[in-house]
Amino acid sequence: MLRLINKTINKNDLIKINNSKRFCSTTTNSTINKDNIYDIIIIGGGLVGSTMACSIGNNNTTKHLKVALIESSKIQTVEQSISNAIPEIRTISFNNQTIELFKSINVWDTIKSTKRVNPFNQVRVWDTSGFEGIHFQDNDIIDDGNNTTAMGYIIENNIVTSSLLSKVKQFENIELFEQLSVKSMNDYNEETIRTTSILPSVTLSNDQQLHAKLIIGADGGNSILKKQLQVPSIGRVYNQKAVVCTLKLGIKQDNNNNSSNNNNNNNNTLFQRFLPTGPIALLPLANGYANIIWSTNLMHAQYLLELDDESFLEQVKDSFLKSPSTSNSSFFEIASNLFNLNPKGLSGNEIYLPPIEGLVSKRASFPLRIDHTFNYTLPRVCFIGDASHLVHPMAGQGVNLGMADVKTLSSIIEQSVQSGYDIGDAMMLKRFEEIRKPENLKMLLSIDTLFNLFTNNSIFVTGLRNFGMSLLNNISPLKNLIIGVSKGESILKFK
Amino acid sequence: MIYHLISKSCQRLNKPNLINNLIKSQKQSIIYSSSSSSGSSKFISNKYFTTTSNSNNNSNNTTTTTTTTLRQDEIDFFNQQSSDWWNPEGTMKPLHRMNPFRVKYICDRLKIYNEKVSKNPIHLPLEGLNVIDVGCGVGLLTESLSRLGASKVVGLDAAKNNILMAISHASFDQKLNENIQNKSLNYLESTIENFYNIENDQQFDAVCSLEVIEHVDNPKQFIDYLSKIVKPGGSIFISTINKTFLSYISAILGAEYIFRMVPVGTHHWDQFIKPKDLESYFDSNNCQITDLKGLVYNPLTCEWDFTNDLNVNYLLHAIKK
Repeated sequence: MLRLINKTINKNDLIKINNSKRFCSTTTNSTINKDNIYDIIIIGGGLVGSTMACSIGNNNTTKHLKVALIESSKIQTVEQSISNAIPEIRTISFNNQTIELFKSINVWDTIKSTKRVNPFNQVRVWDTSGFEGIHFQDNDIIDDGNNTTAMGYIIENNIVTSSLLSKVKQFENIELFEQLSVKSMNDYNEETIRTTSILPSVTLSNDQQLHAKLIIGADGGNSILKKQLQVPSIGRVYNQKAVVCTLKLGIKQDNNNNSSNNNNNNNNTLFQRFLPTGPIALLPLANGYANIIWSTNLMHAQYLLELDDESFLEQVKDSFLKSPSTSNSSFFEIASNLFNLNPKGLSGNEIYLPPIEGLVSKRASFPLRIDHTFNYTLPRVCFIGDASHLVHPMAGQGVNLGMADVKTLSSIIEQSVQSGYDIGDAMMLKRFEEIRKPENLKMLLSIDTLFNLFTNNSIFVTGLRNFGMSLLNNISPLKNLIIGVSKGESILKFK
Repeated sequence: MIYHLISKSCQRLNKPNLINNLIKSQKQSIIYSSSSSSGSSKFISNKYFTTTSNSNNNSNNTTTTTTTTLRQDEIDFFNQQSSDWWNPEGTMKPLHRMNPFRVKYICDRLKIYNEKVSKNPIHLPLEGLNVIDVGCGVGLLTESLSRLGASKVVGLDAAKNNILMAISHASFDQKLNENIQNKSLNYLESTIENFYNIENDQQFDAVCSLEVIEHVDNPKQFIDYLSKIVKPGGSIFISTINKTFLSYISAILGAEYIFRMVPVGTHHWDQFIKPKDLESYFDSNNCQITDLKGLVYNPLTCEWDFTNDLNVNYLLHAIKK
């Protein structure tokens, strides 16, 4: 123990030596001076990281904190992000809680001003069993400028990110490190950080060294920080890929509904069909575009990527509208009659899908997995967003969970400042973990269960599933509850 | 001599970890006294040691001297607890969780009653204030007060191990380390009466004594001393546990025996105090209670919250006229 103390003292001496060296040598990268000590370093300037930065900068209690935001890619301006009329391939479904957060940090107006924001108020979910499926419908979208009641919003990733980062640039205490990544964590040692006044530091790809009281890892599912610190996590690979692309939709010939006010922009329904190979979803975008996210097995994904545009479109239409195959289901029919699984005898064609005009983007794909980190925090380190919890995109909740992390962590940091705590205080960070972990795990497990349920084709499971769905579809309080959940509202309130 | 004392007390406690911690804190306090000038070493010298610090022999001392507000067994108890005190998941977890709430309460109240505080920047509300934390333990509240910018903070505790742990812990934080060096943060091993007798010119803008008075033998006298060291117009903050049936159920049976949140023997119900009694003590010292607020703990979520129910834990703010 005594030796340990000696060691610490030596380290302190070393720092002093380094400091004195500064005056006689030109290599100043490894020295600690006031300039490279930050209160908070946020690694990753994506949706979650940049919202975190805005959230700190926009709060009167925390705006004095010196923040470094490190983003590895080149940052686009808002103008650049909307320069292409065709929407970007990566789109996100934001729930109302996230929109509220955007409003509170004053970026919602910027995002809305791009006119590339599309609210949706209907969700149609069905599967291949020929059953009617489930139809969620919220109130009509009322937009009086301040209050919009929609179930959620579909917006392109880069529009939101660039709006957030343009806001970040307005805060004087936030420094943006563009096109730089984290090279190393410089012998980060939990024990040393916990029991001495030595702050952790990161070395950037340009060999610049930054020290901070708190390092926030917001660098996504493949977090470099997590790898550097060898933080363990569990999860599984779904053996699936999501194939994504952008479509242009045709104009609806909806004669029955002439009285509707928003005939021009009737693109407010989110469609999702659970195929035996995985879910396919059509997310409506502004200006008559739509985004397809098609999760399927690796072979099929490869096949879909290699098809020419026309055949691919055929496949998309088929997958949404094709009747259930009855070839192998004589037993299914018996069971179906017995349990009255399909009382209306629907084929699936009744689901009204907007006409698809054409493909306007290349197809891309990304692998799907679920992952959860047990420790959201280490001494003076905290993970938020996909860095600590990764989900299947089928429920569109990944980013929204990350935003809920941001909300909680910023209020914890605010409390730390108000109550005279170090912002990297272990107990305060632990409180963040205690609040967020149950919420995130709940969502992770629900989505994983849904995935298992819907990719299962056994009669028992389909029967159960459809029975459940028909129940759901006919019991309105229950349905309202689910709409509430999908909007991100908490059902159980303890206070 | 100090070293000898500690190792002796550690042997008595039969805790091998404790001795290491203490050697460490001892070592660090030596670093302080040697690195800074004689002024800082004053605080860890024997000047403030009470007669009770040589604990083995004179445990009867307290009953014979009229000026002592503390019982020796209480000091011994907290001497034992000091090693695990700074562990936020340890035996003092509820206290750790309570701290952010009580700090916020203190700042909010001072904002109303102290002009300086209302004009200070949000993150340094206590700038320009002299504050004392009587019964600081290992410095939970003291550290917060120092970080919030108070120009002078004194942490006072009669248990020597607590003071050593407090000094050691402050060295983990660069800002607090600086504050100790420039003497805006001071830890003293002393009882309130000794402190008053030696430094009777000290006048504080705020006197805090949180979760302390229920461990004090003579609360009336304790309040007398607190009122003596506060400036006219200054604030006194007390938090404690009410003497009710419910407080017996929750603070003794619940917290110590059922949930095992705090060590058995932490509290003694007969030493709990009713707000009414405190009011009369304050009255006789020309102080007025301006606010009373209840605090409630949820053992499942480990979170505190404010309430209007004063039956168990409560906080109060008094002003000296």
